Amino acid sequence: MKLGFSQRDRTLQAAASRAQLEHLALIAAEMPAEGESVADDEAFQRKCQALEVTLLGLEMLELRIRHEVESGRAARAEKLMLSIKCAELAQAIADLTLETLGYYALPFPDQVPGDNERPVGPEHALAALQSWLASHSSSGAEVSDHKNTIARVALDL
Amino acid sequence: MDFSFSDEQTLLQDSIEKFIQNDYAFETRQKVVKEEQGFSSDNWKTFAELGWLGVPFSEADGGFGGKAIEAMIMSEQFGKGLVVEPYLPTVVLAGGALKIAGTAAQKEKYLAGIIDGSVQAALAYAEPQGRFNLADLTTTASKDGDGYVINGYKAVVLNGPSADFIIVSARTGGDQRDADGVSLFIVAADAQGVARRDYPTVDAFRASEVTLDGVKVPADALLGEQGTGLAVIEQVIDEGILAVGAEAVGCMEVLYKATVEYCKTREQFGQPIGKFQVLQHRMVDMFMEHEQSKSLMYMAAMRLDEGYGPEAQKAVSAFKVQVGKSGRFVGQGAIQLHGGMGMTEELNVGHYFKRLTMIDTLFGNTDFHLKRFGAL
Repeated sequence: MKLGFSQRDRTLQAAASRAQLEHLALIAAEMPAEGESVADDEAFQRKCQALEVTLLGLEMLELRIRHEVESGRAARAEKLMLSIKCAELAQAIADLTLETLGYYALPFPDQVPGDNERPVGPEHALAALQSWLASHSSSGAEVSDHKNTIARVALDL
Repeated sequence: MDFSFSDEQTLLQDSIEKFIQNDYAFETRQKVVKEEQGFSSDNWKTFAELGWLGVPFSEADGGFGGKAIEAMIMSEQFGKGLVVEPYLPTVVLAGGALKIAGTAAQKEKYLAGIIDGSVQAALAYAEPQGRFNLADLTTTASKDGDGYVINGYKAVVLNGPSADFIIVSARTGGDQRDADGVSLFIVAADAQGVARRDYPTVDAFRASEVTLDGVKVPADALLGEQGTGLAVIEQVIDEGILAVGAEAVGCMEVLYKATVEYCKTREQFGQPIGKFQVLQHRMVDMFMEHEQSKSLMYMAAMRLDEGYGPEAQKAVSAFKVQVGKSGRFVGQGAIQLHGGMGMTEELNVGHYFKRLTMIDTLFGNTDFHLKRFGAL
């Protein structure tokens, strides 16, 4: 039998989403809700689990691409797919992180260099807001271009 | 990570692919499903002759010692051909339960017939009130002299109409939804007190509602140890999920490719509709859903082959979630891009769509498995 896991299976692109999802879990555990935390909310848990299923698929896709490349194939469509899906996943995780913050998703105070005043709200709120903005700035045209290319190279359209 | 197949695995894949290309035309399948039995006995004989019915069983039991990867390879090809022969209920489910829990005598008595193609079987695990909970059983088996007497009702038993024997889950103890107290019994389909109501399913398979009214079975009908049957059913159903999930992956591949071909030939506004970007992107999305499902199919098969436990269960549930979501997307996309004819009897597209939709429900739908994934 071939086909199997090995000890050195590490991903790069998907690993970034994995870290982001783990960070979200930390924030959710700290945000209060209904006398418990957001992490205890079933609706939130379902959303997280759905994102994790997608992530597992992308981790496997990245490993499949590596295998293809090591076997001398270009795997161009699959690489573009990985880019699109990782960008979409990053957005989805950033969106959910923003939801997790509740009201503290709103404050976006002007930042003054050297300012040592404590930020408004939970300490991770501003970073979450920034990564939400960043994740949505890198989409649009690029995804469309990638899809055009996949249509050409994988579907011969 | 190694994603390449061994020579034997490639050979197995090629032989089924060739069979479907040469001997399993869609029109022939449609004739077969309209006949009373709902599948072709000649095909079943061919499956036996080619050794496919023995793939998952150990060499000691007369099989070829295949594992989850081989089951995955076979089912994916069956999915591409929309094969209606009862490989899943007879070999994967009933055969799987015997493989896991059977005594040497039980294996000798029942597996040989499955492997040589002379015997059909079914697994009656579901009940109307239980939905997807495998432990929720009102069917009971009580001690009766040396043997047992079984009373109850089993829902949507796949291959029920053709089965020579049915493996039935029943309570020998515990409360209605307890994990403990579930036992499995091998019941002859013609045993006194077994009544069936047979019907076709929307995806052209055959199933039965089975009533067990005072069915007496001997002590050696008990499969596995009394009261510990739930673990056996769980494992068999997870192997069943890998099989139907792989079928779904095969269905999705056929559908997205058929849709691409159609859009290259169908013309509107003086050009093939496949030139329109909005349709191209829809087809790329279908392609990506197929790939995403395929990745998780590999993960589920590899985890199952590492050994059955929470890791494997989690991977199987993740795969089932993805297949439910992707199957719906690809199926609906294929129908929409083909237009109204996508749902007609004559075109294969609607039949793949129906199979994909039923696979989502089978063994627990997307919501059920997302919850299970989270709980593991």
